[in-house]
Amino acid sequence: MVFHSLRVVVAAAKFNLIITLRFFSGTAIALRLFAPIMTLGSAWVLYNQIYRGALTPEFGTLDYLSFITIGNAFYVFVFAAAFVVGRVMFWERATGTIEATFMTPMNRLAYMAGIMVAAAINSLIDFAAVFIIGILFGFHATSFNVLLFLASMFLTALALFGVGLIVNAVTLTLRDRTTTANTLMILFLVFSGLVCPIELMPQWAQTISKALPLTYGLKVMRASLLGTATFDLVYELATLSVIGAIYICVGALTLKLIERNLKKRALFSVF
Amino acid sequence: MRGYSSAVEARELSRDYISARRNRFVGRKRTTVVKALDNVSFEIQEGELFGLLGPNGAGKTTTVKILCTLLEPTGGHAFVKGYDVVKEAKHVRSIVNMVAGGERMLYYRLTGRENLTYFADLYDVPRKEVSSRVNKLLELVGLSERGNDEVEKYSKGMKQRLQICRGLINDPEVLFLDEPTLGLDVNIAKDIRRFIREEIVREQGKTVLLTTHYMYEAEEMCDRVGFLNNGRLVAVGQPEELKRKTPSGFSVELMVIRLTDDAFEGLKLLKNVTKVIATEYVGETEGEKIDRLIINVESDKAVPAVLDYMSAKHCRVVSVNLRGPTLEDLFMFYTGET
Repeated sequence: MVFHSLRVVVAAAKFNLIITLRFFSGTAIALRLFAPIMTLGSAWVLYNQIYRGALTPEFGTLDYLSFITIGNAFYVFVFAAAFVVGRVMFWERATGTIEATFMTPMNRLAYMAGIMVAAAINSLIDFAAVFIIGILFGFHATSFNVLLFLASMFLTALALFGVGLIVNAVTLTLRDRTTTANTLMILFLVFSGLVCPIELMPQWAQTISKALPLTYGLKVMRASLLGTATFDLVYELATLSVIGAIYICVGALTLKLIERNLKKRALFSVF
Repeated sequence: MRGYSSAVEARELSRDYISARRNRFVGRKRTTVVKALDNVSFEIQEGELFGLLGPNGAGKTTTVKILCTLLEPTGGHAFVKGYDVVKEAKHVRSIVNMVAGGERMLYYRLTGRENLTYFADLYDVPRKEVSSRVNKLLELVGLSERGNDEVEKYSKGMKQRLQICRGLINDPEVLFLDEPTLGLDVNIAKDIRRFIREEIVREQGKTVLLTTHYMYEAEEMCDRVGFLNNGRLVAVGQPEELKRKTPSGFSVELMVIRLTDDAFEGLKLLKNVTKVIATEYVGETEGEKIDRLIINVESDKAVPAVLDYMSAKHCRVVSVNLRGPTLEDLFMFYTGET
């Protein structure tokens, strides 16, 4: 049972990476670099030309480009972890492979985990690219706490995996992945403190941000690279772990319910 | 393994499809219930090739999807090797597989070999056996040389053959074949039929449920058949047994030139003619179209009267073929389809 699940994780990751690598091209890489260049370029213009380098103390740093570079890198990671998983069933249904795949006795969570592993590995290119482009715009890491860095990545990835499982239900119900993904990405972008500290937001917005795992992961990652540990790090990591566990439990239940619903409503092959 | 009497058993299986539609953007939804399966019961014995026949929309695919755990019934129960397909779906999944004609069910960006290896992993096929099993299956369907090509480069027939390999990758005890030769070239379809009959059923002893609306396919392959019509199982048995029981008598197949509506209608009134069940345009000769008629008659003595009548109506009969009932006749008899 456990060995089969591990085998499914490896197989799903391996074959999804094969598909990605087989159709890898220079154009695809160029397109993937375009978004971070534009985002960080816009941030550079805003920070240097409009706000003239002025930051409030809530940022925890005077280096906005480093602040936004880390946020942007995490954003790329979120996309891979949460939204690639979130559209798995939609994609399988669109390509006509969902019945063949879900007819097997594999563990569904293991399958989703394998897809996320592939997506996360694939996203490392974008993740690294954001930091490299960030350096060109002025990113400067004042410290590098490897343990904190990896902990933030790992725990956030786990929590986002749970989010992705829930997103599957939304994409399948709405029969749309683009609108769903864009809406949720905006939610994460605005409320997780990617572009500005959540302390600057209204109280109601801060309440939303507390429910998003990215908020905590981002704080830990910024602390690992910028040394801005002005908060209780243990509390942040513990909260991230608890939220992650809740999201995974809800996600696993949602996945079970989606499959049941597809079987009940005869929607496995309907697209 | 628990005890069971049949490899596959359906007990009063029902399935409703509910569609809801709103007339305008707002307002109450109107729901329509379509009974795709209505109290269907049948059994398939170990090592048997059972054909489920019926016109489009009869409920064949619905039955297959319930049996391979992709769809839940709204009523009744189904068992595969004694396992309940709803309550023990995971057990069922490990011992069955399904191949559907006209469906994709393969990853086009992976090679044939990668597809099979991937599904072998998902089915937890013993690691030591994966490579040899993949090679053997590719060889069986004649795809060994193209196994390392991406599936998107395959022809339709090659994709279908690879689908059959996918269907056999977990060495299933029960195999569901839903229109496996749909849209394939005659030669490829013939190869696939031979492969299913000789290799999968005779050599490997697997239980197979085949759905098709090609009657010659069912006649050539099946040990027993069941006719589904409007979600109801209207007859089950061995083809020969059903032919004996069915009062369709003899059939006269006529190829006719210059068939008129008047002549066609008049045929039905002739003595000893029980049914004129089909008329279709089948081709042209000397610039005139040829129609095909299948006329059910009570005895072969009615044939001269039919020919005299056609002559009197100035219809030129190109060929006459007298034959006993076929599965096609049974299909028409039980489903009312032409």
